[in-house]
Amino acid sequence: MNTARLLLPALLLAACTARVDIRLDESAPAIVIHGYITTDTARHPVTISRSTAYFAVTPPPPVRGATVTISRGHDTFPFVEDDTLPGTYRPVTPIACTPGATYTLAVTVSENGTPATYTASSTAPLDSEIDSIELRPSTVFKNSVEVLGHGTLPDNEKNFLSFHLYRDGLHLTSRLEDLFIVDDSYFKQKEMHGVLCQLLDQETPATTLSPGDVVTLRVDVLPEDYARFLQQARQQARGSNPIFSGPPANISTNITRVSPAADTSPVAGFFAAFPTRKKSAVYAPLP
Amino acid sequence: MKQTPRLLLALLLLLPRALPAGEQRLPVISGIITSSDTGQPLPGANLSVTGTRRGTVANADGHYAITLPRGKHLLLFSHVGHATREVTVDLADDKKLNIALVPRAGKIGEITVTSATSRVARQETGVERLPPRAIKRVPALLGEVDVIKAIQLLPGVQPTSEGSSGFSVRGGSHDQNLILLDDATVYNASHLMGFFSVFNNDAIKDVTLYKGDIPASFGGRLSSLLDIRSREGDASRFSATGGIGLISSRLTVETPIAGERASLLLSGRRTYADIFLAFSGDDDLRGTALYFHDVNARVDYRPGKDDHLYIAAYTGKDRFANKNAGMTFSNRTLAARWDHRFSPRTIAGVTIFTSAYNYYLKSDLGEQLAQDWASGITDTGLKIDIARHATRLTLKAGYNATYHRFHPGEGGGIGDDALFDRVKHPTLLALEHALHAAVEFSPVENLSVKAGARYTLFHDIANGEEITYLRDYLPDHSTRPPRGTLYHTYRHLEPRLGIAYRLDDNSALKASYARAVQHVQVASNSTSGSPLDIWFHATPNVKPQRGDQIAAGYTRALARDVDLSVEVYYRHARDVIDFKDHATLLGNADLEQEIRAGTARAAGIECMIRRDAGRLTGWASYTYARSRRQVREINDGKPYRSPNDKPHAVTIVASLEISPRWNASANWVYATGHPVTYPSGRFLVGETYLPLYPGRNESRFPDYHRLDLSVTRLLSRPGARLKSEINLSLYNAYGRKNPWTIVFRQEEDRPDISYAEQLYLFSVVPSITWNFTF
Repeated sequence: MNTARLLLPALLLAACTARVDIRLDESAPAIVIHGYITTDTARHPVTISRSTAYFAVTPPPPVRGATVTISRGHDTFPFVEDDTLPGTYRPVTPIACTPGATYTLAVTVSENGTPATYTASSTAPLDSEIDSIELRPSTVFKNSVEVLGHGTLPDNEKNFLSFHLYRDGLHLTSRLEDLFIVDDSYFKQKEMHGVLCQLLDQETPATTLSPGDVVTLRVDVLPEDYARFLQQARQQARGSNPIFSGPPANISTNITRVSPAADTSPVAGFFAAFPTRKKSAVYAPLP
Repeated sequence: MKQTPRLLLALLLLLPRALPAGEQRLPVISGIITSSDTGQPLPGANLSVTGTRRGTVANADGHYAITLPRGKHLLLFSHVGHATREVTVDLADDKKLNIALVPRAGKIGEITVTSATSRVARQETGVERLPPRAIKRVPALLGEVDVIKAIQLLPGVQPTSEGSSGFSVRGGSHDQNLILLDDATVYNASHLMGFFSVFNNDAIKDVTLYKGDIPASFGGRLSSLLDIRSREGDASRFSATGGIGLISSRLTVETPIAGERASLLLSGRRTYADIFLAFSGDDDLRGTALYFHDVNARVDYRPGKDDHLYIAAYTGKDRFANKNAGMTFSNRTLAARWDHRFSPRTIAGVTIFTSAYNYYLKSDLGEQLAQDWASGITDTGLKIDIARHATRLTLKAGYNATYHRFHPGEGGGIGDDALFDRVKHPTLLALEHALHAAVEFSPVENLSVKAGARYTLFHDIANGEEITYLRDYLPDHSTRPPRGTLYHTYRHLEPRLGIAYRLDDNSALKASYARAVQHVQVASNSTSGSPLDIWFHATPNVKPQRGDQIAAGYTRALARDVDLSVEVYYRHARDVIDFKDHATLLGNADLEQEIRAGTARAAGIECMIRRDAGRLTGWASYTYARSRRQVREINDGKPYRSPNDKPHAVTIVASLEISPRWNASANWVYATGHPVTYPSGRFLVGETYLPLYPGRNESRFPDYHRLDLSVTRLLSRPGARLKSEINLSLYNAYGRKNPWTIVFRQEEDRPDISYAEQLYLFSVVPSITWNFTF
């Protein structure tokens, strides 16, 4: 239950907001490595950059010239840097992950002439089955369309699912803030029969549907640690309420520095492998 | 150690006879000190014996007792706001002497805490008393006089956030304060998100804050004890007191029943902000419920000169609701006490009490998403106290027990179509009880010693559910002990020691040591505290918090009504809890896995100068204090500032009696901004910028300061049956925008541009209140 929704109106009756100038300390730049591979065969990107001052107006500097590989057992998949996107690395040939298999990312970058190596591993969970999706006007949220899913949850010990939406191929939930992540407690049983997976606000132009639009639901079954990373990142991006939140803390990461051991500068980002499924429906508003 | 409870028990049982025969040769004089206008006992009233440095202080029920040599003595009885009364006695044998002190006529502006001479005479360190008439003159937010807001002006006490009723004592957490109303624990002392406390000043007799030197008869919290006693109704005549303010009104009536042996007091308050919301042009606001109400009731009965029985009850409820969601939370306490005087030397009392705190949330967002959630805590307890006075020696002992029922939560989806399952977290049961004994004596002239101990047992009681034990914060193995069995026990001995040495008539040195153990705490990592706090208790996985505090002080009466006090303290606490990063607390059945334990250290110096009488009264204080925590799994194991670490704090409270009809009051507070964790960098994931943080609590909010003003005009003529006054107040008079919180946001259309935004609750807040009594 969103308790903030209950209490904040009372509080805000009296409250005012104002922008303030705050002088922030600046920490040593962190290396940021983020990437994932899914069951879709593709040239999945891994991005490498450095953090900046919080109020910086320049984009994070990309880390160029890195050596990037993903391996599964004795198989190693080399990556190359994208010519048009500095700091973005893609596998030489398209790759896909297999549910249940473990993948290891290895990154070597040059830091002031000294090689620094980072690594992360992820085991892809078992896959879900999505039979169909259904679009219907919401009876709860004004001027919204509900996207309902039908299918079967996988047999993982714990399931963490995220739901993405596309309209005619356009990714509508590319921002972390728009992600909808749930765990097993959201489902009463293994079978999904018309479970609410996403909402499309029909008062916002970016998500407004027209008759004939093809709406695609993407269901990712996430490793638990990656789901935690996404939830923490989403909360940070949305902003937290001090009544219900503790002190802010760095978002968890599975990226670890192998060498040099003496380097204590921060590391951020995540690497994950997970299965994904898509199902589409054509939007036809009720008469 | 095993002998300790037997020793304490023996002391408790034998106390009425536990005096050497030789000591009984000196007579004791005892009685009750009351106020002549209301007949109310005056807790904390002072008795000093002229020509000696002997004296005593009345207890919470106004009882006093002191042993003196046979012969004539001139006794001085005093209490803040009352004229000092001199009584000559010729003692040959034990004597009972009840004293009624007359309130100072025409004074409408006295805000003193206790009198200067009595503070020098007292042997406790870190103890402050606030009578209701002192609290009444402190300028208040929206004119609503408030006990907790007045407490927050004392040195060593800080609000946990702007406008909050939560408070930190000497750097401790808000849940490390034991708040008692007539011996019943008040688990959430806030109304309206903390803007008001649950204590109605009209129904309060006495407020005592112990910042460290907590008597052995109390325990259960590391930082402080706030002991609040409700008021006895006037047994001599019917009277009424009330006030009408901008957002709330209150009324108290008191009347004799069954002759003058019994009295009844009824007191109630209600806010009416929601009534104004009904006229809003905004549909959403129009249907909003936003109010609190509370009721205090007390019946007193004195069947004879040696017995006093009373039943005191409190019930209060807050409600916020709109058409989509609602929230209710409520406090209830009920206490019944019987005091009996066996002899002038021996007094005993028994209290039976219960208290409950509950909250209920409900959202009504359609059939699939409708949810509710209920949580609470219920206490039932017993308290027995015996005091025996002898020559230069007072023995006190007792037993108290509390049976806790914690209801962590129950709720989820509502109805058959709900998406969310309903869950019910198991009710947790515990029994906390203690034997205590203390002795107060003067081994040599000018030196008084107070030594005591408390032996506490805390039992976890099985309730049929599996008890899961953790290793590295993850489930390790479970057991299922039979329901109702005491499956785990913590035992602790809590020694207490206080020493006071009178250097001369005007100055004294004092020192104290106290160990405290805390078995229950709040699952909240919010620094402000919220009505959704979940209380939980010590288990095999969560050790009780233990703290040792030493304090030393010097008090000097600079003039007849002016005194200076300086006090230093150091506290070291172990197994203090904090929560891991990104902890989930609300609705989490596996709460223990979110907890991390470590150590906490706090130290400080508190300086205070105050004037008790005259046209200008009040106090000024400066506190330098630091508090830090260290938890292995937090902040990479490095020490970090506790959320209430505010090194510098200044408070000035003043009241000026301009004329017998006009009074002006002001208070100014300053404190270093509280610690906070600000980002020190940012990084990009996909299209979203995310913050990077340094260590915990390494930054600070801007410094806090605020000036409050009020002026009171007595409207009624002297001697009139209806007495009334009007109070005008300005809270935050110069409109300082003290941040309640500071958040970091990104521009809507340029997410790469970040900025800081502060939320502040109050600018200048004027109010007007009409108070009356008849």
